[in-house]
Amino acid sequence: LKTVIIFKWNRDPQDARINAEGELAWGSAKMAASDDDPAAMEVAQSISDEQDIIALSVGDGDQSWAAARGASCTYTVPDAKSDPDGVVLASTLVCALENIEDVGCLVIGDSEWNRSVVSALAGMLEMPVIAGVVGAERSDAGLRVTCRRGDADVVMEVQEPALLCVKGLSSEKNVPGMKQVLAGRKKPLDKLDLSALAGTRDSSVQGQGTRLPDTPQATVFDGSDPNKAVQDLLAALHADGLL
Amino acid sequence: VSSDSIIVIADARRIGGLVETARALGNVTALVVGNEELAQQAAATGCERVVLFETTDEVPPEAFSNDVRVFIRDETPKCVLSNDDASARMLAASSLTDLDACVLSDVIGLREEGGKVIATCQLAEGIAVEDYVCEKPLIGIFAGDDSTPETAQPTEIERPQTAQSNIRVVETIEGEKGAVNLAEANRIVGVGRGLKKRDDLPLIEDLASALGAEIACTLPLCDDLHWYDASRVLGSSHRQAAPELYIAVGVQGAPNHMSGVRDAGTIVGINNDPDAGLFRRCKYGIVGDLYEIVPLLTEGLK
Repeated sequence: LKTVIIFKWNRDPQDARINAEGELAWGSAKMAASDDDPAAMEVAQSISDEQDIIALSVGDGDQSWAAARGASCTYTVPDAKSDPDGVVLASTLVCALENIEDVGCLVIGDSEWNRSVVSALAGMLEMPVIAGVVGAERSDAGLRVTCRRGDADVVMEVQEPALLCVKGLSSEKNVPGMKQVLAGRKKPLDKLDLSALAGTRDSSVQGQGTRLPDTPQATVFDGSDPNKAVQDLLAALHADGLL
Repeated sequence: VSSDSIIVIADARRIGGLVETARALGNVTALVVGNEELAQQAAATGCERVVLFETTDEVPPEAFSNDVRVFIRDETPKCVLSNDDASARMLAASSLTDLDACVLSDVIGLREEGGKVIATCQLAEGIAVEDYVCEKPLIGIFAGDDSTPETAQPTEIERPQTAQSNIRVVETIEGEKGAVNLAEANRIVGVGRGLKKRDDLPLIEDLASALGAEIACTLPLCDDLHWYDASRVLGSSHRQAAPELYIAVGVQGAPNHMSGVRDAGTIVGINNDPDAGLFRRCKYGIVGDLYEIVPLLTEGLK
């Protein structure tokens, strides 16, 4: 059975900009790997040999990311649409999976950048879903999946097919070098046309236009005069009854 | 009683906020996938119904996925809401196909107009918000503030029959307790990579001492620099805390870290980068050199 790693399915919110009128703009920001994507790749590698790891992505990010980290080939839907309704992108991923045979385990980084897509994916796939995954291995009983729950790690056994939603606990330890990156670019890349995918879903929400948050902006003191800034801060904290 | 909204609860964070937000759509049913204590907390919030699928050390929330799905399907709510707990989110979404629902992240408010649910959501780590008119039932992930609901007569807890799946916990590995319990701290000083070297840590320790605060850190200070152990890392991947006062020093404000203090009462940021994400999340900030600011602040607190 193949293990599919889904990567680079969202943009980095740090790339977003907002103007004084509250209009949000992403500029030329592309789909990016989140902090959880490398952890998801590690989980994929812990349960499958590299020749059995298939990568799946969407949008306009660098598609060699997973291949450079060991995936044998990559499928991508370059014209996939991001939407506030997570069902839109999740349905694209589900439809794209139809092109991959013998899928056993799906692995995705459960990024804080966007909670809707992974949740929607979990709801659309008719398979066990394990969240908060920090590790996995194969066993005679199927998959032994380790999840972080508070201060403890719990180990669960689950049968394939299954969706593992991975939480990264640290930054990427083994960033591929130029040799791996170049090798990754030579691996097969299969571009799927969104219009050719049967069953994708349209958005069911209508945005009314972005605006600045209603919550008050931070009161920021100018530290170029450190004494005054500190005194102003202390006065504010005293006034709030916090000191 | 009909369930206009169902809130799926797998941990105790922001139950009051969930109930208050869902209340805008009518009757609220709390679907608790956890233990009796968690159900009691939900029952004290004034929900019309509280339904418990009881987990044990061996039976995790994931084992109730189909039970949750069937319950939500049969209630046909306008909205299913959960906090950002990973298990709760996945359980809430289990009903997606049955409800033919839409899914929105970072929901901070709900209302109903013309028979349609309108969700207010944060975008891009909260730098903007937008209202979305939902053409279908909504599955929402709540990112709003917590609140303390009016004390009510505790709701009776229902315990329906379940048909748990065979997912089982086969081993539990307790983590090292570490040096500190940040969850209990009333004041916390957090330090990030703005601190240039380990020898400068006394700056932070003095501030924490003057404030009567615990010390926390961002992930790189534990993971890359090894200045602190993991018990001091604040973030969604490690510890979460709700102190009355959190002073973040030299912290950039990455989402992973800031979600660990989302429930803090007041956040103060000190950073020399005016564009640091930290300043989007704090109430007060000082843009300046921490090496100048922190000693003055420590003296001021003394």
